[in-house]
Amino acid sequence: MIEPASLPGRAVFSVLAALLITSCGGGGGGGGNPDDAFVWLIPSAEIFDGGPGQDGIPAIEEPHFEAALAITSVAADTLVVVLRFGGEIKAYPHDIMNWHEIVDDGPNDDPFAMSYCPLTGSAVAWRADANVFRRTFGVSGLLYNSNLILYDRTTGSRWSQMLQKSVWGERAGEEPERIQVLEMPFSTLQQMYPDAQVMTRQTGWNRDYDDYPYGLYLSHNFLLFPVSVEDHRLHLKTRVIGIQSSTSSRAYQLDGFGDLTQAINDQFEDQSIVVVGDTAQDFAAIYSRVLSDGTILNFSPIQGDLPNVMSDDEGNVWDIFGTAASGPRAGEQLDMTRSYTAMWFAWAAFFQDAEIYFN
Amino acid sequence: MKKIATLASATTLLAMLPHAAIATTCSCAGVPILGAMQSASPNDNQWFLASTYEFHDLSDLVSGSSSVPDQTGRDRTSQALILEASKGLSEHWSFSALLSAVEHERDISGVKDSASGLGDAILMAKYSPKTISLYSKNSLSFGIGSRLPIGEDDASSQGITLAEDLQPSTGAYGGIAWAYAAHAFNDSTSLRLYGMASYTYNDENDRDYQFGHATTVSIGTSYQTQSPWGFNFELAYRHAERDQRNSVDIPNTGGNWLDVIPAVQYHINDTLALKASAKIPVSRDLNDQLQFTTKYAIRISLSYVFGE
Repeated sequence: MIEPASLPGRAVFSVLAALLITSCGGGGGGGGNPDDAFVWLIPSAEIFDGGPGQDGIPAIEEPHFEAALAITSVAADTLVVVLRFGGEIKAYPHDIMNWHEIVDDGPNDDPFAMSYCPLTGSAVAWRADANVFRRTFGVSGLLYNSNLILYDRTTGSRWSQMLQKSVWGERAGEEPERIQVLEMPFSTLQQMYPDAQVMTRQTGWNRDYDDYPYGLYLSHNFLLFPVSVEDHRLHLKTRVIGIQSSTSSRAYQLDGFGDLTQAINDQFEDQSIVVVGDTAQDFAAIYSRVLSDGTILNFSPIQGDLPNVMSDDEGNVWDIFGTAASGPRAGEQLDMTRSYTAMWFAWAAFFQDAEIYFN
Repeated sequence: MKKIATLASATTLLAMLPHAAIATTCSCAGVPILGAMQSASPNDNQWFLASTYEFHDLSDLVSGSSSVPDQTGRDRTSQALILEASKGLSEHWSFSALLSAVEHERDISGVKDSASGLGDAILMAKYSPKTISLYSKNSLSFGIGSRLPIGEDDASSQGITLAEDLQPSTGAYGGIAWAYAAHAFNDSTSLRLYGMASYTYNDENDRDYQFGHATTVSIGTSYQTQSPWGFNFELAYRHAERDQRNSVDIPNTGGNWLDVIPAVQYHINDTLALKASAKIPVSRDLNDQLQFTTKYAIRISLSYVFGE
């Protein structure tokens, strides 16, 4: 027979309550987010923990490649990030990069990191500073303006992909040496560089590369994480190639070039630039028109001779990487600009009040 | 007669405790607070107190319904301490309050992020038109309540707000509808079949994040031996809608889970009981490509009944 308790019950409850209260110290911490010894160069309130955590999205550290003409796992319309390094054309399919975001590549004595952020559609590559130390990069799990923040495994410094500089840590403020990166469909790459080395799905990671991990994100007009400014002058996910300086920026819509290759001799602030692009073939690049000897070239587009895309008033023919393929300046290289392809919302968030060329 | 009725109701309470052992619902950013709530309702002027500890391992990587080997060396765990106080207000009405303290930890190859603090609280009013007793073999209860974000939902690590699933509190109010029914098969009411259902509506928090609304349905059986030992076995289904931010679905959230929950309890005396249960996934069908989800959970609870 039960004689329900009275005071003992309250005593038990008191003990349990005390346990609860003492367990509520509150707060968070850990090593995934960096410590207090350094100051962020970007607003920390606008940095978000994307959820997977540091290295929760695994970088590819041992990429494998196959020639563009031989590889069968890449669909014709799959976008690939393309760069030229050490005389070799290399391509990284988006459907793999969506799952890894970073490839640590290159020879041991000259490594580079290629990164692609699936939330901002931006791809950049930079040398990994082998002269200082062997530096590889990983995914920090943090986002700024929805954009990937990398970390280097040597110092733990954080690097903003779209700002292309370290924004926290002992390397804060450092800008790595950039490598020209292009973006195009695989079918265009095959036309341009059939011998290009294309990263295969042999990544060492168990992922279904046929599936896109972000649902309707790519085509719909919404964001998953807040950004500094939402600029709705264009559909948020419009692909643009942008050029920026410390004071201004300009964006060219990739679907604004038309079905024939265009070469736009333009002026951006005090820079003479050429914007070459083709909507049908889905590529674009921006180079300086000013050569080392002070000559300013004027360019005209070339049709149907990929990878050559433009010629100049001196009779030189230039390829998509800005190298003179023939003519009196054969072998010369146009200077890179601070430009790359990204989704409009990201470009506008990072480089506010951007001009839009094709409205 | 009154003492007999008290005995019946107290025994009923203790026997029913494991029924809702680890129904994953009303997540406090991953911690199922509502699942810790006792199923039965205390009698008029009777108190029921319980303290529950839960350990939740969320390290299973799943794509749709298939397990995927996780090669990132991830451990994702949650621990919670949940206090419940319920009081019978009348023959049919009772009131329950639950308070939680939560610790989340994410460890990827030795890199840890964690947050701890007060979690959400739940207040619920219950109406029980039928209660298993010497005179009835059926029990029926309905509850309606609210989840209150009294805890910490902006835990940060060195100035950077941690991900929503690492926050101790959801940071958002919620509404809960709950129902429970049981049937005793014999006069001693030692063998029972029971079912439970709940729906949790989650509002947005200050960061415009909204955890997915969740529905749970479970069915189980319990057996109380002549000794202090009792046993339960429950099958629990849970459906969670996708989380949203700014009304936009978050990929890789939400889905369907089916778990079995075996439980054992030990009556220390007539008023104190100790219970242990485990949640073991049977199947899951989760949205999109990859989600980390429950590998297992264990729950240990100490309960106490007192009052008239």
